[in-house]
Amino acid sequence: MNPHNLSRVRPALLAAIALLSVAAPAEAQLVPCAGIQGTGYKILLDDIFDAAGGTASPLMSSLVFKLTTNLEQLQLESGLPLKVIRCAKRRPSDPADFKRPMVEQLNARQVVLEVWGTTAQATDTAGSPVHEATVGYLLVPVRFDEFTQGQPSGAFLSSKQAKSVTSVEDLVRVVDQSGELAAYVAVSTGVKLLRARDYEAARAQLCRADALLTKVSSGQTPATRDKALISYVQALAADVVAQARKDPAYTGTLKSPLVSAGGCR
Amino acid sequence: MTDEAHAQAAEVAVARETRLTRLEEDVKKLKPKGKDGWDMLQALTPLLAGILLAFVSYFLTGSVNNAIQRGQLQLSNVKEMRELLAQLDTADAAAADSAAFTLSAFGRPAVPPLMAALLAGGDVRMPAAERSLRAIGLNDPAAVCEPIRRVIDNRTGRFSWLAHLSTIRLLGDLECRDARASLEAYSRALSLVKAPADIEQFASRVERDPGSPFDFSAVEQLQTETARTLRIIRP
Repeated sequence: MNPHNLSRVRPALLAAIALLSVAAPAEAQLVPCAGIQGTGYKILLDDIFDAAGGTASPLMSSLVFKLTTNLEQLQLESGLPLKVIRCAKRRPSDPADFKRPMVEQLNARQVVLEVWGTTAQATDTAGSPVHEATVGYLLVPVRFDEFTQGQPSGAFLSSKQAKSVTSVEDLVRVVDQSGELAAYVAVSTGVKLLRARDYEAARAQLCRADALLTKVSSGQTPATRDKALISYVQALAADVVAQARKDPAYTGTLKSPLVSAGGCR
Repeated sequence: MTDEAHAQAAEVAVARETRLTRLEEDVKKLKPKGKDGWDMLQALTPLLAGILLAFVSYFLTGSVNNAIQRGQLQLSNVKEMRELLAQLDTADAAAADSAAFTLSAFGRPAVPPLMAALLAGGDVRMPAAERSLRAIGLNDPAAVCEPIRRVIDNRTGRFSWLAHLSTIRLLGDLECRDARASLEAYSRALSLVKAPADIEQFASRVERDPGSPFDFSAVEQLQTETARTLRIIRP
């Protein structure tokens, strides 16, 4: 085709494609998160916003600080570098927004967890006004495994009710009601350490995750999702020992017959 | 008439005959010959020169015009692509996908900037650039196969392991059979990494980025993707 003719046709062609591309509006807003280039394990904190107003909570910066403080104990126990990173204007709408190419990128950049949420006015069973919060969690290495192994679910939503969402403490309760955040971080870092063949650190994190998940659901029947996650963690902890024993390059304590082959117990 | 007179008359007749024969031969020699090839060429030269000049002028003008138009088209492409390329990095994932889809309509001219976007990385930009290159390569494999093969051949450690992973996947998706030797060499080098302690042997090939460290998990992902691509492109 003559280049001149092509240049005449091209704008029309591009306009048609652009029109087709925007024909299906997407609710999710997954903008790039600048902070993920840094070193160490990262927890991404996306917008937690009012579903009606659409604006992000003004307390987000304070929430980053509070969550970092809450994770200090886990950081001290594990000795792993953990950082909470605020991702402004990043608003996933559904776990399905996290498709394999993006999860692959996040996983490679040492992102272990991503959290996002929406709040909406509602009424409880007694008719009192409450805030219905929907919080989403993406356990990046677990989600990455999900694409190859099919289970367990590495991205999910959790609904919670809060009387108020006007203080940082309220938001912390919404995001990390019973210490889930530390448990999920322990699961994800355990999986990442196992994939990097750092067996001892992986086992320690997975066993910590097992304990934290069991604690989170203590006094109540674990949800099906948590049950699946606990089973996955226990199976991986056992897998760590099996892999370590088979690995000729590894010469650490997990090769000792005194270590239980059953994982954490 | 005497015999002597007869003899003289006969002599005169022979002499006349001889002279006549000589004259006829001279006349024959003076007659114009037919034109040969050289004469014809000499006659046609001005005409041929004219035709050749017209022919050359036509093609020269055509190629100059084409070069100018190609330049204008490239400039127009750059202008049209600039906004779309910026969207790959700044827009949300859905808009970046739309931009990538539109960029793929430019075909071959979009390959260099998309390669740059792919190699620059980014959680939204890189997957979008990969999708766009795949779309272009499905229509025009040669335009994409050659530049992506150069990424895995490069030994300077200039590109991230994620860029390597992405290009190896594209080589398979686009069935770039010319890249088989490069990929087999890559696979052999990768197969020497059997434990975390061996990583240094291969690490010089990839960019050292503390944000996305080249650990054993990265090696396993590269090994898996290389094996898949080799399965596709081997005869």
